[in-house]
Amino acid sequence: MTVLQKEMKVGIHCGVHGRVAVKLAEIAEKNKVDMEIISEKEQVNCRSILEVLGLALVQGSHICVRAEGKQAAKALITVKSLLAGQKI
Amino acid sequence: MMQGRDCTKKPVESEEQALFGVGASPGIVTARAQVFKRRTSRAAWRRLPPEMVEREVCRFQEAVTEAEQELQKLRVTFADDLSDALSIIDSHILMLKDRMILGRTIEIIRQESINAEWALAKALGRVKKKFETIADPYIKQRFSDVKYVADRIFGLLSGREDDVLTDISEKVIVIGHDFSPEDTLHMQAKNILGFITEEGGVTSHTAIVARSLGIPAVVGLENITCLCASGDEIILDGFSGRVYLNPTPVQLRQYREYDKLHQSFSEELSLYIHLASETPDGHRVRLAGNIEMTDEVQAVLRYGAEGIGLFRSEFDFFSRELLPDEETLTRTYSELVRTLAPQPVTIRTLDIGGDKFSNRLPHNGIRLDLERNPALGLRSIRYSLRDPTLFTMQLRALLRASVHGNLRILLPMISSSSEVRCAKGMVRQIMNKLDQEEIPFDPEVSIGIMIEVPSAVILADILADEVDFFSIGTNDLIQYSLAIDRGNQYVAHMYEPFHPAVLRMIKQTVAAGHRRGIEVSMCGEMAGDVVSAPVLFGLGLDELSMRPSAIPHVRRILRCSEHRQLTELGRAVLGCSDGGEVRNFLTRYLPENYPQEFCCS
Repeated sequence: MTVLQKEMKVGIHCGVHGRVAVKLAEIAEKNKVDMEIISEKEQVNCRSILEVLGLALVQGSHICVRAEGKQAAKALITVKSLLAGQKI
Repeated sequence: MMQGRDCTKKPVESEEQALFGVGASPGIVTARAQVFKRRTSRAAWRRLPPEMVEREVCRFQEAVTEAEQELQKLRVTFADDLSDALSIIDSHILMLKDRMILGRTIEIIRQESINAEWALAKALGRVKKKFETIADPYIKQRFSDVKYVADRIFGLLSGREDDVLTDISEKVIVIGHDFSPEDTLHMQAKNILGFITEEGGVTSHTAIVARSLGIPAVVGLENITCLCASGDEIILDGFSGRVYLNPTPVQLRQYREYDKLHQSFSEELSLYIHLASETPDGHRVRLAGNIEMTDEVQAVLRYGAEGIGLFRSEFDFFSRELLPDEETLTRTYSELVRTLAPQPVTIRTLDIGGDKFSNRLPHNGIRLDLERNPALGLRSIRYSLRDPTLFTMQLRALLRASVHGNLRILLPMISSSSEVRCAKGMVRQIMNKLDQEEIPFDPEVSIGIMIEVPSAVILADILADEVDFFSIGTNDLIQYSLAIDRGNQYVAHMYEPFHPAVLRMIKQTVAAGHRRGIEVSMCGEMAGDVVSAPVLFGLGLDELSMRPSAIPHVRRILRCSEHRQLTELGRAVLGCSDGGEVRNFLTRYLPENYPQEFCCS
């Protein structure tokens, strides 16, 4: 099983709010990966949007995203563009 | 009392019955009320015998599945062409199945052998606690969504008949403690004319859905479910947030007329979006927009602004965990300047302190919240000059953005020429450095100052030699020159923009600027007020910068004026002895000279 991990920075103007949290859950679902966000505070699963929202990630927050599954690489690339504020 | 003909006009004379909430979705409707009392019937605590525990888990899971089906159905039925509503429902579906709700509740049922309702309430309590520690207001507000979702499950567990809004068959205004975005979607299908809630704000999801469906709404009106009974006649004004209970026939007629007037008026005004800002005899005044975030640029363009007269740069510094870096700021500023080019974009350097104090800048050991008198403390340019690292970064970003169009750098709260020289010295140094690094910038970039401290008005002729433009900030200028704190209820009524001292200071600044051949703008609240617009034109300002939506109306006033007539008006108000006299004069003058714009009520 592929496990990949990538450091990222939140570039979206208004931070990781509802819509972005939903997208993160969708990316995990679509790519059939187990995906976690590791922040300074804690480590949460992307499928739980409440946990993701609870991290209160704002623009400039540094996080590490860890994906486990065959399509881990693809998932991480998508997450990176999502957090950079690009349409995915 | 004289008012402009737009929403600032109060169409109903008696304010006695008016209740003030927050206008969350625009529009005016009149109808009978249907009140939904807050349901306080939460299920009681019940301990389960061991053999019942798994059945309780099943009962809970079934309720969640049913709730999900309801939401899925709603998604298909209503939300097809409403992307806002669609993503809100999607987030609610995910919250339903979130492990902090679903998994946690099941865990509690099993561990503590208690009923599902109580377990869910406990799980919810934990989520609430977590959200309470979040500082970001937008993310924090998402807890209201978690509550809607939990309420749906509570309802299904307790065997509610159906949605609260099911029984309604006539056109009413519904009133409740709070409605979910889903309720709001149902309202459209049920021809509900509008709604009023006790909770909520403009940025709540319920308000967003109401706006995208065009359902007028007033939110945040405390106790409305107690003040109003089903069957009461109501006027709901979603523009101003006013609600009238049982209005008199006269009030009703006035409001209907007002509504009609308002509709035709805003259509009429939209014609002025693309016209030039000039009087028939060729006197031009630039009408620009004030903004805080880059997202607002669309509104600036939509209302036909001729540039940005004030970009408040604070948002980029305080909206995130870490301070922004030079690259981020350069990107933001370049994008703004490029989008508006060739029109000017005026960016004000960091204006913190005063009412905007922040301890987000701990690196230099300054505690702004410990100041005893923050309005007279370390704020704006004083802060920037004391924190040269931060200020240098912002200036570098501004200079780098200057190559993309017409950028104007605005230094706030200048009270002496030494501050201007100091800041300009820094700019020169940075320019030299950028030259060495071979980074392009516009060496001719305009640098101006805010005129908002009385000493700057008095020294305007000297300051004018140092800078390329002036921008008068009326809010602070009025506060400092009249010694009035607007937030203080005992003296707030003495805050008077038409105080002759204020008007004379504006005139003095304009005169000093023009003598030295520099432009004088105004970017305070006063600049977007239709009543003061003719006066400001008369005092000779070159640019008025305001909230973008006010531009078409102010432009129309300019286009109905003659330059000579404006100059005379300016002279006349300068001769008045107090603010009341100016207002009395305008009460006669404006309806006579702008019959189309001002009417007496």
